[in-house]
Amino acid sequence: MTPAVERPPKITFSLTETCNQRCRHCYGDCHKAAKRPELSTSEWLALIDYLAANGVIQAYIEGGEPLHRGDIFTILRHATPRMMTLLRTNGTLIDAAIARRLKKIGVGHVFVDLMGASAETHDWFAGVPGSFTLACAAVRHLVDAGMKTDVLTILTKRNAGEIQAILELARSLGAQRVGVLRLYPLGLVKRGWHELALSLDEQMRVIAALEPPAGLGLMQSWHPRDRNCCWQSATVNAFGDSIGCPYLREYVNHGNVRDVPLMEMWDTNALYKTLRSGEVETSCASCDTNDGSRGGCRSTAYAFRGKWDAADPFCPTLNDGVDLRVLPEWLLQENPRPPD
Amino acid sequence: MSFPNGCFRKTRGLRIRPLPEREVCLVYTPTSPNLYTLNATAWLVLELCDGRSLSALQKAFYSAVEPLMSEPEAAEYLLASLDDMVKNSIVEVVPSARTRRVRSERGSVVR
Repeated sequence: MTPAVERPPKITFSLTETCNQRCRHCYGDCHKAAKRPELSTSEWLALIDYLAANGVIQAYIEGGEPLHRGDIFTILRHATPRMMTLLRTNGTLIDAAIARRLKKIGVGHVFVDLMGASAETHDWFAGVPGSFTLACAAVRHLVDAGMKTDVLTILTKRNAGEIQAILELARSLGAQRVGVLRLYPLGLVKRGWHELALSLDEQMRVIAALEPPAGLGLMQSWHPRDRNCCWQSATVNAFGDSIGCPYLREYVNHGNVRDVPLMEMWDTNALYKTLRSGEVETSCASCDTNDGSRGGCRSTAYAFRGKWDAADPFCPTLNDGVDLRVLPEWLLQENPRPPD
Repeated sequence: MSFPNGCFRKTRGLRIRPLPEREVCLVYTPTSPNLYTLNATAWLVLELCDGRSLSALQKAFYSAVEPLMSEPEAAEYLLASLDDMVKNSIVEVVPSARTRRVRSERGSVVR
């Protein structure tokens, strides 16, 4: 049975497309200044009120770099009494005082990106020397402030040999869990796909070999945990576009919250409803057992197969010969649309 | 767990999001930021926490779950749930109206 909900319980805010880094693994094309007007402070606050009134109980806030927005604490302070608030950050703007402030405001959980276990690797990804030192310090500051803190990393060819070391580093810094995430063909990543992407076999070997240190949780979304999360997904990007999921950002726009209430889009947008229906051509029985969802991630299924109901090639059961190191050409278009 | 004179109510500021489609309820505790998923039975316990005493809760809970649970099973489940919910700031224990009244009267005598 496909899970379904009448209203989204959780939301992601891709709060800004500005950032103080220039990451090779950026899923957008973030710069220090916004390329076009982003939602204002008052618009974000009104949106939070609207969503809370409609039953949304958790907000996952990411960017860009959310702490790069000057009004981030105003937004967080407004969100935390209304919804469980999770924050994803590159960590470079978090010192001891900011960590304490986040804790005091009531942020529930922080996720810090670490792309390597060494400055050489991490800073190569971040594009700014010194980022590794600051990110590690941020994890320590957050843990010291009593904040639940996890480390996130994206598995690539460049850091595949360091993932185990990242787990050990994260544990030594006091993180509770490490999330190892797949590489999505989005934003700047597409330009460097050939030097970052691993084959599925290589990815599965890395994941299988991981041995989390005692006391550290490991999160991963490869087989048998390849979920199709779209059934409950809602995301608003920095410009107010409703994009379903951050990983659908280049393929989907259900409308803008400045023009149409999000719940109206949820109820009436045909593609939104299709994505949430969980109707797929085929699925993996083992992955299906996770939350009852079927077919795996819709973003990578669409990226590599060009169809919303295709199977996700990141699952070995469903891969069927797709070489994940080869980027489909249509993804390099300005507004990617698969060939007919 | 022992709350002889207490009444149970939802913690102030608690946010509740029922998900009847999945037979669970999500609960957010802003004072100690966490998101919990309650199964249908724990959700029932939470709904009953509207200022009732423990004995009133036991009565109401048992009448809602019998014959699926025996009276001792219901009592055990209820106590364990209340214990968890109090520890996790989902439910708070407040003095009963009678206790508050007695305290108030004593206070007025002292003054």
